[in-house]
Amino acid sequence: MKKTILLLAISIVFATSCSEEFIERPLLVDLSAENFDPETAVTACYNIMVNSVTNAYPNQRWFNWQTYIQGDAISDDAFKSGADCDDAPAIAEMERFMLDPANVQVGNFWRTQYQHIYYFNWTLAGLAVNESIPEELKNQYRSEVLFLRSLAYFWLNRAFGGVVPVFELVGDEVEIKRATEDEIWAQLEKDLQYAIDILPEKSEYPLADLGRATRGSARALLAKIYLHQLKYQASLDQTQAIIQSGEYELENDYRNLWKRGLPGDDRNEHGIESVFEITFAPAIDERNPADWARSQRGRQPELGGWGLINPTLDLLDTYEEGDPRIISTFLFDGDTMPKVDSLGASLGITVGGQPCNIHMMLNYKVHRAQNEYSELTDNMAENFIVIRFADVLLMYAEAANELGRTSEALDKLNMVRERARNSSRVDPNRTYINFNGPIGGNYTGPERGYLTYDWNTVDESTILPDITITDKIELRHAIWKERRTEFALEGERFFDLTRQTKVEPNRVGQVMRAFAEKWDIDWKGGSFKDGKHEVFPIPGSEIDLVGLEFLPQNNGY
Amino acid sequence: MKKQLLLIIVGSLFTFFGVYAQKVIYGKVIDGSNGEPLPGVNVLIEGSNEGTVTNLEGQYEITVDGSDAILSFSYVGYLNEIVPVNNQSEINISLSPDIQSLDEIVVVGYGTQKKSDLTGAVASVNAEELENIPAPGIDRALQGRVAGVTVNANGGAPGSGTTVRIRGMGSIYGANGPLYVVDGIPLADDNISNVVNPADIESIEVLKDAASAAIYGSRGSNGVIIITTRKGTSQEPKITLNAWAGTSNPVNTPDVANAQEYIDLALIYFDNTGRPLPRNIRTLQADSFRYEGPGTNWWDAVTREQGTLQNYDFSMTGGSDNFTYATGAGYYSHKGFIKSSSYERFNFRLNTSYKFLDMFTAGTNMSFTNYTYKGISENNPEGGVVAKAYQLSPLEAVWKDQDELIETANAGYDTTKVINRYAPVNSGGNIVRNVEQDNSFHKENVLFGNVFLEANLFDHIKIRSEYGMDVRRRDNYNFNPRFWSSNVEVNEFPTVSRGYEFRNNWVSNNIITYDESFGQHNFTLMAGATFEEFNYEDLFGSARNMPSEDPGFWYIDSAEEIIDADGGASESALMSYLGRLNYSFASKYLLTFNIRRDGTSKFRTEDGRAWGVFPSISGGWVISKENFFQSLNADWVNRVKLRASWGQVGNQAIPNNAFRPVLTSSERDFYAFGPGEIFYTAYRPANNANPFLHWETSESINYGADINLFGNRVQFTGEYFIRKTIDNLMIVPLPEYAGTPSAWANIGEIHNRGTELALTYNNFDGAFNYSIGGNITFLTNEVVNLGPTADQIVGDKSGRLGFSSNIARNGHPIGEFYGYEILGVFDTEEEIAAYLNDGGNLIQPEAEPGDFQFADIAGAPDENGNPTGPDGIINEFDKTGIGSPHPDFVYGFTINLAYKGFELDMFFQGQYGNDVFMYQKFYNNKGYNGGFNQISGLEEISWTGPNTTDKNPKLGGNPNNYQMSEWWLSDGSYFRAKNITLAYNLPASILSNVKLSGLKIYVTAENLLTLTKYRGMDPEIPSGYGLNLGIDRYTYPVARNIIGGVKFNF
Repeated sequence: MKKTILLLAISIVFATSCSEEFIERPLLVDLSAENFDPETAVTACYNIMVNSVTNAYPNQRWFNWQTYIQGDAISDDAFKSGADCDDAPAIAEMERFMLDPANVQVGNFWRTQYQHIYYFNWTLAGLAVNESIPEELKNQYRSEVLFLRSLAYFWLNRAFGGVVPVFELVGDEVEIKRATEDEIWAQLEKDLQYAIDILPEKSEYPLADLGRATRGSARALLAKIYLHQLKYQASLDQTQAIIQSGEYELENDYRNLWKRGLPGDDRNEHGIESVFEITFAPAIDERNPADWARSQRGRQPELGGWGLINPTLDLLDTYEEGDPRIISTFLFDGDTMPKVDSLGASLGITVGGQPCNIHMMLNYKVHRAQNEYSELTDNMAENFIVIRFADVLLMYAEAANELGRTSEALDKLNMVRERARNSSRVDPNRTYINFNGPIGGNYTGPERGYLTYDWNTVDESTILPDITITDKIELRHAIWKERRTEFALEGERFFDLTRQTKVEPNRVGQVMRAFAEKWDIDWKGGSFKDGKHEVFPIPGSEIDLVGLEFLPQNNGY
Repeated sequence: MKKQLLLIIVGSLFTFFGVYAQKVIYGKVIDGSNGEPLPGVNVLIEGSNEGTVTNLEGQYEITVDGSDAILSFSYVGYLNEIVPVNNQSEINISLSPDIQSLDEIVVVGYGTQKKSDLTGAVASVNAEELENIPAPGIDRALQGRVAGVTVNANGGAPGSGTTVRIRGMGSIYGANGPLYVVDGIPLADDNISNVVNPADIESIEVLKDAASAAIYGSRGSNGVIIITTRKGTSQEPKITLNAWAGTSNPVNTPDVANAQEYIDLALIYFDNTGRPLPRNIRTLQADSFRYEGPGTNWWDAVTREQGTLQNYDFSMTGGSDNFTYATGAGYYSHKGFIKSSSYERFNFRLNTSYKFLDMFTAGTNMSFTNYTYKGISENNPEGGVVAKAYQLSPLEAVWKDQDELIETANAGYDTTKVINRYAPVNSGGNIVRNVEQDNSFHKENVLFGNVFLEANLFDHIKIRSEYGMDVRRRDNYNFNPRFWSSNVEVNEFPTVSRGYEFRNNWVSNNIITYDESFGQHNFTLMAGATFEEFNYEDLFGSARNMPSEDPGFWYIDSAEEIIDADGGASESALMSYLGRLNYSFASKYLLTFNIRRDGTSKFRTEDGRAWGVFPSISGGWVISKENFFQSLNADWVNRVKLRASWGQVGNQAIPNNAFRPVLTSSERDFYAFGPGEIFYTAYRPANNANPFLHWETSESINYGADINLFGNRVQFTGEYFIRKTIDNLMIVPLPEYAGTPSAWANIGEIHNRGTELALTYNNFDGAFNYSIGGNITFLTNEVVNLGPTADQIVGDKSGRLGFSSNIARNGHPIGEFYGYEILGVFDTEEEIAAYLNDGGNLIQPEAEPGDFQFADIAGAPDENGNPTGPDGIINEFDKTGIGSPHPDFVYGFTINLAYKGFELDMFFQGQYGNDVFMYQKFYNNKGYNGGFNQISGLEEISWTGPNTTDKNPKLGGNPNNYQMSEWWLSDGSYFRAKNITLAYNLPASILSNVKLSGLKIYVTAENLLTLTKYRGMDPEIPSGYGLNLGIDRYTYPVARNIIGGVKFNF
């Protein structure tokens, strides 16, 4: 009996315990990596640009779009603005050219793009070893991802002037020497050349797949990269191929470019002018808010925005008299928009009261959905057009002019002007435009109205005449000016200026200082230093980690 | 079995019952120190197993065999008395308190040990020591009390926990908190106050060295705190009622600029930068920027007149020969001094033990806790309530003016509702409205405890099998009402969200113990197996637009539109085999050997990485028992014991799936292609898995000495330890350009070395009794190795700062502050021109007067990677260690005085030598661009011209001024009168008339006095993880509590 009890006791202690199965626990909720699926992985590559769904920063999707904000906010086209003058202090520092390596905005931009690049590299690595799909489809996927990766590097490289070349997953060797700007361009040229050979044209995709990288989009990006390197012939070859493909045309009316439309309506997503476009679709709970647009909309709840990016009068004054693009670009204090509530009743939003809006204007290109949506939320799901055909034409024009092919340059430039000229000069979605009248509200700028002429009496036959200049330098400037007005507030201005600085030394500094002097706003452009502020500082925390020998800092920082 | 019942009661009460009778002896036992009767004293006939215990009045009656019998009187904490009966029939005895009760039993892992036989570093704290500390949890009560244990309050918010570190930090990213074990069951987290009511606690043991903690191997690497709850005794019921209540108020308030100071500062800023003045200042221009009155004090607006505390405990213990019980209930409530913050807790406990069939004991130790926590956003520099109380402009109003009310009504909102009457405030909203409308809180039910069966066989063998649970259900509530504050601060639809979290942790412990003695040789052999399983699941939903905002409609089903639903789950498991041998010879030579084999689900099982083996050995030598020592005739030396130990403990506290690659798809992993916007599903990598992960090992060596002098009145314990954490489980430091999620790896080595000294002096002899005790801990922490790829790891960039303030690098402490040294502020262009390097070049060519002068410390390493001297450029190479978040030492001391019924207990505590990073400075300077308020005192905040200040740069100057530098740091040393209690015990003579055995009235002041040079509100700030240490992010400050209470014993 005693022995039995003892044995029983010992067995209580040990019997329960033999198996290792106790510590083999299943993975719950998620999938094991063995389930790598090429299609969902490539989709993740597109989605990462929209949602930035990474583990470390799950809710900071808006970082994706800071490059876009930067392109305007630190240029002569717009003020940073925001919830109040103290909103987004890091962008304010950039705007003042008081940049330092600890600038959060610059750091976020760097990190976000490299997180995206990780997903691209991860997908490429997964595709390389995957044997479940046909070679043809694999190459197609690979090309799409190479395009996306090139786009990310393009944004990085033009902002920092040479970045860390991470073109495969980082293994044990994490210290990678920073590449020069040209070395990065060379890799992108190679990747895009590959993609151009593989990718289908836009028309070869079924409608439901529009938004994927196309041969045209790869060519357009490559053309831009060539232009950055002043490789005019190569750039012209690519833009020419796009034009000759017949895949793209200019929209008839400039204002239709940002038409969002209701499902089933006359929508204009992935339209005829769109070369590459990132989709934001309405989803519950703001799962993919179009932060690029939301961040710039007015702060009134009906406008659903954060109030960043307020255009300058300098930009407005750049437009030629009566340029129809003005009413598709600017929203003026006092404008009334006929917002419709869920029952169809018109509420009528009068634009105004934007805090810290120095010239009391907003970017109208991000406000178009309000007119077309009955029920308004913060998430208006505006797509972001990365490259459009007008850009292809103006790149062609610029390259042609530099190559001495003046008439071709004029031809393409005038195509863009013609479309602008023929666009609507009235806006059915705004019942009143204040820009002729006296400035009211909180306007603090110079003592003048928005426009220095009467919009309604402009002779329509004189608007935007064809350019006939043949002097190379004058025509170059005409093309650059056309770029500023055509792509105003689309995030390109500062980077256009830094690119142009390679053609005409110190151009960006001259432009910024001239702006500061003209408008007596020394804090915005006055402290621009040539040879330093054309590029952003490499984030100091990265240098802390790998050292200056691997990651030399940019000049002057 | 036929004549004796052995009842083991934790707390070492040995009770014997005899049945032979010839002569009846009676008497009364009193406490020699105060004359009070002592109930429960063991009265034993020497040489027999017969005895009795005294009753509540201290009286006993015992029948002895003859007049040559000898009675022994023993009681825990008192010196034994031995009295020959002779011809006496009444024997009254007064027992003297034993200063060092050597036979005290302490609870060690899976068993108990005599304190005198301990060989490891174990500190124990009795319930009596904590009795006079009104605190929600024992963690707070432990602060400063035990050498080697640092406790940091996570601020003063109701229900906020503490950060407890035993012998420093062994890990940069992993958990550094100790393991709490309550009645043998490990706790799931370290928020002990949510689970255990301090009133239920009998004793606390702190296992500090690896040799002691080894037996909790897999989870004991950061030390173990063993909590034993009160058990019943086989006697009449004892009932205790304790009630206390008091007020809770901030020790300090933010010292911010008033309206005029704010305007003056803004004018300096905007003058310096040339930016346009903000509207609220611009509109004052006509009045030459004068402002009537002090403006809004946001701190006053968001705080209550005072916070309140209440606590009521009831407990009852008792039992019969076979059955004992201890039960109790408690209620604790804390309304914080910041509006809306509160914590409320109900506890219930039932401990039972039943003895049957002579050899078996079965029972339960169960507790149920229900608490409700309502927090505010704090410890959050960008939007927290405390932060905003500092930052909001005094020019902004709390309440709307008439125009704004009209505007509100025009927008279609009801202005009779308070929620619509709060004024709109820039920069993140009106904090008073934020806290008043905040309906988010959570409730949690915790069922915690065990069921056990114990068998005692052949006097030597004990088998115990217990099954424990830590079962929690947490309900998260949130309701956001419809309101309109301005056209940008608005909520159009009432929104409700609910979330449930279920946590089911199970543990099974199966232990067999064998005791044997041969002559002077004593052995205890223990072997066992334990299994633990951790399950978690959550469910969350939100919806909006309900018919009414009444709390009756704060449910998903009440709402028109579902917004969201989420849920997830995880599980993990641990299993272990363990063994221990205790050996002692003549209580003079002591030896303990532990071994343990642990398996975890967090590593790969295929190649055995899931398993780790962790041995330890410790020995003690009671030198004072040696003949040579006794021949010294040093009577004043009572006891000297030397101890040494070595041991290893494992750690696996990392995420469940770090060893296997995982793909995930969340509600956001969709992308729409085409104009038709058809959603495609996306799967992405969720982690950066490392299949080679294995156990982190913490190895420690401990040397200790216990010395008692002068009749045990002076007691000294000293320890020196070295704790090395090797194969450290860390997140691999990767540059951001790698882009990957963090990967865990076994890299690096961290050492903690320390000295702990504790000294007490007691005098319990006369009517005036006192004791003075103190402890001090010196600790150095050093990162020895960060693995093959990194020589330093920088912390996360902190919010808007854009830089990381802390670093880990070889040869330096974890989380050292790392940045530039500041030589001063340039007053003039001449000073800038004079700051030259050896080559005659300007060191700071871009500086302007009012900018910091940084020290040029080093240049780029040479081609061999060796450091170089100053190079005339200020860049990353000039960063250096500029401060430490770790104190050089922490200390605490107590003074207890007792005279007749009066007791005065004073407890002081502090730390010395640490720095605190003041996030407040960001908003004072760097982040300042016209909207934020400032700490008052203009001359200290901004350089405004030559010789104005050498400490601060000019406002709005170059952002380079605000890189990580000494400027951000402030001395975090402090000394604090933590707890002062005055109590009065009513004399027994009065109490016996009202059938009470005790009545105590007391008043307590917590945090009555603090001495510090720290410039923020309070130097006691939440600890943070390894690379985020010592940062004051506007914490809810620690409170000063004044409490009165009364305690009844029946």
